[in-house]
Amino acid sequence: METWIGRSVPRLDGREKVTGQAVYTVDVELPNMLHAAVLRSTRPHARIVDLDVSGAQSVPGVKAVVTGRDFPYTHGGMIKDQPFIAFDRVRYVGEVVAAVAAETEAIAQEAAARIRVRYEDLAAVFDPKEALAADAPILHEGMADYPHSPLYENIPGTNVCTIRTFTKGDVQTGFAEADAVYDDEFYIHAVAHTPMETHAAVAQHSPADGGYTVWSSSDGPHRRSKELAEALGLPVNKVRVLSTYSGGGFGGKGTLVAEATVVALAAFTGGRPVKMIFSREEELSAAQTRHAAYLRIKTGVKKDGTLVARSADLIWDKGAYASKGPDVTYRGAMTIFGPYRIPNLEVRSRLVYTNKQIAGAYRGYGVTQVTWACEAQMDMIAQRLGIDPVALRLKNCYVENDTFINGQVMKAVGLTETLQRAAREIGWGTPKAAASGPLRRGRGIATTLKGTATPTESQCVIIAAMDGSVTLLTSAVEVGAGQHTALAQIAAETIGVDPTTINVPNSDTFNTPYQFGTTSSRVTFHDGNAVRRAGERIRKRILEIAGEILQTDPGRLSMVNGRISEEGVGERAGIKEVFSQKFPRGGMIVEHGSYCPAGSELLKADPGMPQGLSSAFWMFATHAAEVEVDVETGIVKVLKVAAAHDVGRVVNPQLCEQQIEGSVVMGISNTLMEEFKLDRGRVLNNTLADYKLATMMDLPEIVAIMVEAGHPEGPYGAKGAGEPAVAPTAPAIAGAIFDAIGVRITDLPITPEKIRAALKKAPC
Amino acid sequence: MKRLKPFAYREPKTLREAIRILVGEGPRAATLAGGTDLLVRMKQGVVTPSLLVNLKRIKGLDRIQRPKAGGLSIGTLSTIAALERSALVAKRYPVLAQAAGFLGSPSIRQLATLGGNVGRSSPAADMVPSLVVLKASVIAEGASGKREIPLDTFFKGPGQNALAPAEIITAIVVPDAAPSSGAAYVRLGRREGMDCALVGVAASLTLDGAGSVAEARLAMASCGPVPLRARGAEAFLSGGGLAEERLREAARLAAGETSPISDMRACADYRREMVEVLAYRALAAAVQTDRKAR
Repeated sequence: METWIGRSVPRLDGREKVTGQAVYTVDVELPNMLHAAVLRSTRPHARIVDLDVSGAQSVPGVKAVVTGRDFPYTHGGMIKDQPFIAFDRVRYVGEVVAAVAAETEAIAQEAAARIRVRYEDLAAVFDPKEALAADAPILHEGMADYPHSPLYENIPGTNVCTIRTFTKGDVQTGFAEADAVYDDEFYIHAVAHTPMETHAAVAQHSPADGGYTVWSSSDGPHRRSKELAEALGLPVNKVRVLSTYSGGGFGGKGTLVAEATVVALAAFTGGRPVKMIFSREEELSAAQTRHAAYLRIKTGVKKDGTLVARSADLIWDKGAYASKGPDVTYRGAMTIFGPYRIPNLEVRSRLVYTNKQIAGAYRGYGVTQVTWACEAQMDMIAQRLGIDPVALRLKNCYVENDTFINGQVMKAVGLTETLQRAAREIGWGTPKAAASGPLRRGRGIATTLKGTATPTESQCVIIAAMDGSVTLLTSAVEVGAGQHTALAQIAAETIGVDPTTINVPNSDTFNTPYQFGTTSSRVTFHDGNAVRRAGERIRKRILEIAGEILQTDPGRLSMVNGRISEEGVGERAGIKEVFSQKFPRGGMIVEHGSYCPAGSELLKADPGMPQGLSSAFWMFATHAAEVEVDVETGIVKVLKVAAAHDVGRVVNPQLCEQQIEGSVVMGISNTLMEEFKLDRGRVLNNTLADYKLATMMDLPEIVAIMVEAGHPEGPYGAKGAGEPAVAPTAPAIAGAIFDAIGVRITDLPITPEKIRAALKKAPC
Repeated sequence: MKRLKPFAYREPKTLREAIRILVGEGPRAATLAGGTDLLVRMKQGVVTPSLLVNLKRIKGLDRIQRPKAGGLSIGTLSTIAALERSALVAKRYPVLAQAAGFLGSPSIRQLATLGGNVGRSSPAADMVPSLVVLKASVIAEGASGKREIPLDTFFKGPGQNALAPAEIITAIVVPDAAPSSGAAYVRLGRREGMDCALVGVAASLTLDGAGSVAEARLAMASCGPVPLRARGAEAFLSGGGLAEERLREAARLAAGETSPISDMRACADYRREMVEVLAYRALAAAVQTDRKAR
């Protein structure tokens, strides 16, 4: 029985945050710091014919004005296609055309407004289907020459940034064997991440050694360091990335955004640091979005509901530059088959450049998008066949030891339990409140599976100082989900100390070891395993020291909450007393831990199948929603969401519950309210008054249910949470609307106007 | 973060001093009360006043009181939150408290003022339809003295009103409601709070001794360039009873009297359709409040 795993330990960063002491990137203040502002493109697609920065240079207080010609570097973690600052060409409204560093932000803004640009407009394209047309304007003529991983195959001479396919079995045979074949198309829209803390970064250049120091709330400090080093031709040990607390990311802080601009400026300020904070308007129009997508799926099914074949054709809206799109859309495409056993599969996924704001990683990494299509179609199939939607899912869903599409045997599959418990909590199959006036009630359910980026590495260092106090050095970023607290609990459990006494400083790529990123719901599992390994070593050494000081066999000693006991004797000493005797003149013990699942038997796939599709662990989630639709206004009110998540062993129930609740809120918001209003690629609603997010007033009763299918390789059985939580909300709400009024919305967001229009066609 | 452009700033202690400053500065001066709208538009660069005249140091402009002659006088600096929780308002004009509860968020209502909501003259102003059906007037004071402008004739277009240069709204006055009358405001947004009205409809109904409609007033937000009255629907209701089909017909007429626009918030057709839905709901609710009052 564990002491600290499974307990709602209060967050380590809680006190610091509620008292306003926590330092976020926007709070970073350095001596001699300059402030940045940028001039952004007003054109969706144009050549820069003339760029006159003299007006900006003449403003008193301006230190540097930088254009793409001054700093002609490009970056991109997957495809190196994005200039730090536009180089003779702009590809979306909002692209940085020139940047200014000045003594104050107001001066920088004033100066940026004085830069004159002459554009020659180029034909622009805003819809990925149109961008696929033979005569569509091309965004990246030189695409074939961009450095990129061989995984990301493009089609030169087109806007297809990447194309990926997958085949298993034979879908034509499958369709021929099916009793019915359904072919449906769905659309999912782009949405903003809207973190509370907008994108921000501070950079300082060292004229002496040519290196850079960057302060950032990015979710992957070591990867940002690598991307910057590769872009600038520097070794990684000349690019230091310091993490602050992060005021939310949700995937949007997973690439170089504000970092790129301040790095470019810092090269020209003689060593003075430069800070940039995105305004909310910039955050909503020139940061990153979720990829919009057209998702066409064709599913063959037997009369009894058995799924026999599925083919899919996916077209993803990339926006102007690759960012993490190639991988997001690949992971998404490989999940279009849902958490279901289907013998015959085929998918083609194309990621297509358009002249719009860049799309990037967004909570769920592509899975959110495909879950919308997969689950909405499951409901439609259930309805067409006259089968209960829960029963249809239970009939086909993965259970323990089923194989994923590449043949990986799946372990710790708690999917069935999530379906059953979410359904029970929402009252599935029990009578609903009767219609009252214009109000109609309905219930819907949807499920999802999500893997984690595999194989990836996490390392950590644990220090026990001369007084026995413990510090955990990790590059896992505290993005707000409680990562540091969860890791401290794992360390505390393993070592035998109180987690609230463990120090977990924010990371520094020169001082905290590599970890892949606080992404892909991977920290608890991967970093947790690294911490557990380092913790076991530290514990062993502490007990050895104790044995030496207490003159007994360390094998007879154990430690709980920092108190050391001897078998058959009882408590002997505290870690502090033992360490002060061991280190009278100072000292410490240091242990390293690392974890990477590469080579694990658990990842083994079928021969000839992509091994990279195997996941270190699989997460499952089911959301069930009850809604009330006003048939006269088309307004949907979500009354209750039951969200059952198989997260493996729960490390901290309260943090886990908060993840689930937060995701449900995000899901409701982007299903019913959030939407970019665009005019030729320009975001019209770039304020929080017009970009509608759900407020506390819109929230339903949320019941978070934790299903604990313990993972054989997870730390204390833990898997992960966070990403899958948002995916099933939209299809669950859409299903509930259908149940209420008989109207099926297939394109997100679900607006009152769409509901009214649909009702007029098919009055209920 | 967007920075405000430089501007001068004054805090007059009296109304007379405020008017003098406004006259001296000319049209680029702006009066500041809650600032929940003005400062946002200044940040967006939509307005660039050379001088802000903060009215909040002037004493007595935030009173909500019942004058001896009857009715209600609401000082221009009364916050929306104050209206929302005023016992006097709740007792005599519950529709105003109801409308106040729709405006912005609790924190915005704590700052935003009634004078600001009326003076901004947005067609979407949440307080205005209810004030219009209650026959409210604006009390304005300028260099040439004090005058009363019926709210019905106050609005001239989006953001435009009958105020003369350097004239300040000092209060909104509402006459006593007739006995046997009721009023209600219903509005539609995309979310439950912090939202601009896609459509808002206020209705008031006054009955005669026989139970027929002696007077009906319907006012609508976000349905045209100014807050609109549905005069055709009002005329239709007058003299008749309160049968559901009559209210529905009036709502249909009201929708026909609007000229909403399509914008990024909603399309014109949807807005027009919603006027009909909301006008009926407002009328039905007004009947209910009347029944409750009796």
